[in-house]
Amino acid sequence: MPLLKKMLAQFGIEDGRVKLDWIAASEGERFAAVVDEMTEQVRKLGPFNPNGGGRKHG
Amino acid sequence: MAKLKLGLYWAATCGGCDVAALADIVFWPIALDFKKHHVEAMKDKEIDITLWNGAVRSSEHEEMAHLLRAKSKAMVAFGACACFGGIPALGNFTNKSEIFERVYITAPSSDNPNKVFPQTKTKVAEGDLTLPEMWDTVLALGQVVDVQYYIPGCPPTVPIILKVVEAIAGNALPPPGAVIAGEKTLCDECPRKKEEKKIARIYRSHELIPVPEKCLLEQGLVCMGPATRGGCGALCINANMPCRGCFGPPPGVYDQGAKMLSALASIYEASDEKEIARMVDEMVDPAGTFYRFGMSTSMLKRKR
Repeated sequence: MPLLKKMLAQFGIEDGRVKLDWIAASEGERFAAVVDEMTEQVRKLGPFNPNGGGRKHG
Repeated sequence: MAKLKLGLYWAATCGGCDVAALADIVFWPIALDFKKHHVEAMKDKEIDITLWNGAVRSSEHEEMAHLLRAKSKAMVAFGACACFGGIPALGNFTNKSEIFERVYITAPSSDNPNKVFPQTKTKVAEGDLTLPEMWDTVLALGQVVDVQYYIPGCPPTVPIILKVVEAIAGNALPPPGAVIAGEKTLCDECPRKKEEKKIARIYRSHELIPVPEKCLLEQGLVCMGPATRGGCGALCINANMPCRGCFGPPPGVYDQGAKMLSALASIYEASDEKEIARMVDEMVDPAGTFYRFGMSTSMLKRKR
């Protein structure tokens, strides 16, 4: 995961857009909390730029 | 039988593919003054086969790709740049304005106080001068026009070129879309001894002279073998150098870099977070290493 994050940073993909977590099937509340937190985090980062700002042939 | 009509063209590339294809021709003045209008004057599909080497990164490359596509029965992506973007596609980690800034302003050899950049159109007394437009993103040939065959390699190896020539001469070309190389990973064909794949340290090529018979990955060198198509004859491996990935992803693999990252991460042997952090530091340029030849055709294609 740290290697993947380092590589994605080179692609300009912010740290906050990727997350790996382990949640047991019995931890429903924790699941909801982690998803909420992730959703909020990505919302703060704003829309993902699919073109990388590339003007032509992005 | 009519003579075979063969076309060769180069776009964003180093010229090594041309050398690989034409190494034996030393002097041929009658054949070497073709101009674009000669191609334009041809009938559609008049050329039997065009071997195109180089990535597509400018309006000129795009124009020539469409022109040669129209005039050729078969379009062949010849070499890693045409197949996957190759070395020029490492430019997809930056963009046109950053490249221009580096080349024309901040490079130590640049002396350009007025910040003059190349323009696609310049007015002079005699009229307008034009230059092709460079793009932000480097593309593989197959992302611009239809391609029948892919011949990977940096450059393609002589046995593969001979195989293709034989296939053309014997009218025994494979079905369209074929990649003319091996059908397995390089690891499958590698002659080295593989024992236990666990590594505790990553070495760069200049930091270690590897033992000749042992798997390079097991010695801590980032060898792209697990994520690369074979068929090259393991040339680098036999020269005691790790594979750099120029034959692209093996069959069934879409993203060469992601495959390599997963292969490498699964053999890391680190007992705590500090060691993991050290090993991540040792992997100096993961994106540039894993996507050295495959950036254009990767899932992410360019820096966002």
